[in-house]
Amino acid sequence: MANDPLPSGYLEAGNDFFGALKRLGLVPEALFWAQDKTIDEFVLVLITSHFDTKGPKEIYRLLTQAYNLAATPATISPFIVRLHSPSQAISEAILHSEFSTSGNFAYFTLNRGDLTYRDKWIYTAKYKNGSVKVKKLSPVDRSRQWKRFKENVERLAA
Amino acid sequence: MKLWRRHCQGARQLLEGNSTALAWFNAGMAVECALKACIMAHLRLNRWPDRTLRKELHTHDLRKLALAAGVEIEKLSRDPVFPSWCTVHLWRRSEGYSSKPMPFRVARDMVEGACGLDGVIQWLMIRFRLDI
Repeated sequence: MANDPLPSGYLEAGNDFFGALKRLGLVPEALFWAQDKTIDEFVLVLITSHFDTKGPKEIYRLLTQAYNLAATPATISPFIVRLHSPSQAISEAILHSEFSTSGNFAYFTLNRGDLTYRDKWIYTAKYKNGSVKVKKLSPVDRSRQWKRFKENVERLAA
Repeated sequence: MKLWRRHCQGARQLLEGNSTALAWFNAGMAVECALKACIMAHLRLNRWPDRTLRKELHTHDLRKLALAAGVEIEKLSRDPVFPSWCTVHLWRRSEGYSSKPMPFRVARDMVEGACGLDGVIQWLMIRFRLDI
C-alpha cells in the first residue's frame, strides 16, 4: 500500500514472527503493529493471558532466548514487542473493537489509548464482539500452553 | 537520599502492601531518575539542564533517556539484563491513572526489573560507576 506509514518489510517480518510464535506454542490473543504515540515508534503489540500469570519479565526472557537462537525473525527484537494482558483497559478496548466492513475504504484506522493501528496490520485478534464468541482458555489449558512454549524454547537452547 | 533509591524503596513498600499499580509506577519513576543521573554523568553536567536548553532530555520516554546516556538497549539482547530492560520499557506514566487492578506478578516484575539485583538500575550504576 503506497500510503502505508508502516515501514517496508515490517508487515512480512511480523507475519514471520507470528508463525514463529505459533511454532513455539505461544498463541497470542492479539498480535498487530501499532504506532505508539507515547514513544513515537512502531511497536508489535502482543496480547497474551500469560502476562498476568507468568509476568512480563519471564515472557521477555523466553522471547529473548528464542530471538538469540534465531527461532524468531532477526528484525523483530523483543524490545519492540509491547506486551499486554487481555484484562488491561487498553486491551479490552482493542479486543472489543469492531471494524466496519461497509463502505469502499482501503483500510480502517483505530485509536485505542496511546496506540493507533490499521485493520491491515492485524495478524490475529480474538475479538470479543457479539458476532464472534471467544472461548477463554481455562487455567489448565493456559498452563499447558505455557509449558509447551517454555519447553520448546529451552529445547532450542539445549 | 538519591531520588531513584527513594522511588525503589517506595515501590518495594507499596508492593508489600499490595498497592500494585503504585508500586509499578514508582519503579518506573526510579528508572527515570537513575537514567537522568546517568545522563548527567555521561554528559558531565553538574545540574539538570533547563528545558529551553535541552528540550530532548525533558521526556519520560525511558528509551530516549537511555539513548541520551549512550545506552542502546536494542543492542543488549545477549546481556542478561535485556528482559529487565524490555519489562521497564512497558512503563507509561499514564498507566498510573488506570482504575483496573494490576496483578501482583506484573507489578513485581516491574519492581524487580527496575530495582532488583538483575534489574536495570543496578546495571546502570555499575556501567556508569555511580554510587549504589
